[in-house]
Amino acid sequence: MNNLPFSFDKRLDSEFLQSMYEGDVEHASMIFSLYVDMAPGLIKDIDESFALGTVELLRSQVHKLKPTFSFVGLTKITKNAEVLEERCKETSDISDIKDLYNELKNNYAQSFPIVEKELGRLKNQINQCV
Amino acid sequence: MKFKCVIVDDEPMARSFLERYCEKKGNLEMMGSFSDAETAFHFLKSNEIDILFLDVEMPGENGFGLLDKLLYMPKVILTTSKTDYAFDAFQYNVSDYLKKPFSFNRFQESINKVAEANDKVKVETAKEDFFIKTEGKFIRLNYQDILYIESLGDYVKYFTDSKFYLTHSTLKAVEEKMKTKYFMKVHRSYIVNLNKIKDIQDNSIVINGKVIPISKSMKPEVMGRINVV
Repeated sequence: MNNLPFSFDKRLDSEFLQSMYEGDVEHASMIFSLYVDMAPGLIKDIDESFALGTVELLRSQVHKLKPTFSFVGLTKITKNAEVLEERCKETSDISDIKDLYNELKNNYAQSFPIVEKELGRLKNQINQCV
Repeated sequence: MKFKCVIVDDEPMARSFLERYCEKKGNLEMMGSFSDAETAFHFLKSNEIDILFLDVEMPGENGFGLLDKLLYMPKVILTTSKTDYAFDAFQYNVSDYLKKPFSFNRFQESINKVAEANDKVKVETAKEDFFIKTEGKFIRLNYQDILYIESLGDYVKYFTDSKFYLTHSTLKAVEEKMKTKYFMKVHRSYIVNLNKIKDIQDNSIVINGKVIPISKSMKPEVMGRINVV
């Protein structure tokens, strides 16, 4: 385990990330890497469900994605996802969730480069210790 | 003691966290990590474990569906991002409920809880007898003489081979005191001595000729606690 101090980007929920990883930079790097690899595909699935108007499927996909955001310090997007998931339970009309869905997508799109950059920093930190 | 454990979660990041936490905790032996209930069931059919980290909402069969099929009941720690499963968790006698994402500290608390419960069973198993108040006096009963205990409203009946003892109590209170390796609540009205079971068929147990019903939710745990060859 890499025990050098690592400060997460303040645009992420750094306090939460410290509590999750406790200095385990290798594990953080592994999780950030999984997020960068998987999140675009998962968002694409949600896009397709939205286009098809299948609210229940979209709810289930959002439910799965919800903790994933927190694992990389995007706790605010987890909250977006929570609100969206709850709204999906109340309606079967896709237009009722349009605004919440767009909010989640915009926040995801804005934060993705931050996570990618953080992954680069984590990898650098590991390389410095090798 | 090392606890043998299995993870069932369709979400790779969640599995990765659990695998890492198990590795860090030290007293856990990872037996398998599965992304769906079906594959996990095939493994669990032939491998007995102590702790099951289980997600609920998964594609295909959900976590509770897996528990319904198991022939024995390990300690179950639910790992889910929802808090809507409290009633089911209670029904399935779940040991703890970890809401994702959770920290290593929270994970440790959960494992310690399971370990403490395990120790308590061991200590209580060591005691051989206890007293009950009946007919105005205290009577000593040996745990191994009791066949089963039946609830009758505000009273409970302790049955032995030769007689029964009626005492003012509730099954819930008795259950707390009888938490040993040998006793188990199998129905809202019955606690049985597992060593005295003659046979089990469908949803009932026979002890000394008495047919005792088993609750559907308790069946997997009953099957898990008897020694099936």
